[in-house]
Amino acid sequence: MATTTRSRGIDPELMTSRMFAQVFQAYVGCTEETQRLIRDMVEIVNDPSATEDEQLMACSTIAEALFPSRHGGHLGVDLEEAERLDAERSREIRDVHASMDRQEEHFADRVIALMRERDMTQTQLASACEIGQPAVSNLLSRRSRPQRRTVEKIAKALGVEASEIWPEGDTPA
Amino acid sequence: MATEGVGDSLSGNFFVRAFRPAFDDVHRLFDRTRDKIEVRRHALKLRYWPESLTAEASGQVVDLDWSWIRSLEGLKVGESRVHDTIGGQDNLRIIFFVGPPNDRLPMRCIWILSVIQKSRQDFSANQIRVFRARRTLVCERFHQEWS
Repeated sequence: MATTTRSRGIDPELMTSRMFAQVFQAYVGCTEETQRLIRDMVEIVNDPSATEDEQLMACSTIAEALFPSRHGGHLGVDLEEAERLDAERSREIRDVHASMDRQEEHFADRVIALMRERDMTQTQLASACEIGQPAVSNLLSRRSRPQRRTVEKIAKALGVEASEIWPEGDTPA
Repeated sequence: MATEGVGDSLSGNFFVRAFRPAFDDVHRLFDRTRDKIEVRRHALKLRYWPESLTAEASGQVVDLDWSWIRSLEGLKVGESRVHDTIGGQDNLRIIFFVGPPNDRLPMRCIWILSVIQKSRQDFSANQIRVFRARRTLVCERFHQEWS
């Protein structure tokens, strides 16, 4: 018969079968343990009582199991490296980083200045905030970004409004 | 202000690596780039995971509360709670796995397995199955290739 699939348009069953062949080949190439977990995830995807979120999480897991992602030859992405590389790639991300860095710098500078005014040590501040002294040190040296709850606790311990130590100017991105 | 200098000795003890499915979770939760970066900066606090905490049931890393997930006892899978509302989402949890030591890596890895909005007290059976499956993949694909 001269009529080809191409001339008749795309045959959905043919396309599905082609996709199945690729997926099946990836599946049989997996270890037994990975095949077992893929079947477990397939159960969730086909479970009508599972939430949509659970099904999507299971789908992402199947995708990774069948078609492993690689970055620099290894599994997963180092978040510190991602922070740096994303900023190099995108002006938008650079702007977001700069905005967040300014907030963190303002926070550290204001808290250190207020502690100095009150002759307060990091240990005393940590004790008043119910967080560890290493955490206070970490935040004031700008190694980590404080949570809003932490900013409020520190502001209270210093006797100021949170807005005095945390600038709210939030640049949408 | 009295300076104490203890913080000067603080540095990261762990690499924090995100597994691709965890990125998918983040993309589903947040539209704005800023919100994704905010979550990443909180997740990066896990760099300071102290080994001594491993024997405890719960604790704090910088200003993040964490606890082991009871249904995955002994597998070193934990949840850290982000108290802030980010991108309109509250009750956010960063699900992590503390990877085993390996002589060929300069530091150990903590893996981000998922980021979810917790909508009830306990994780659902399906969420636990997904966390377990992702941990298995990390162990099989990363830790075995380095061992």
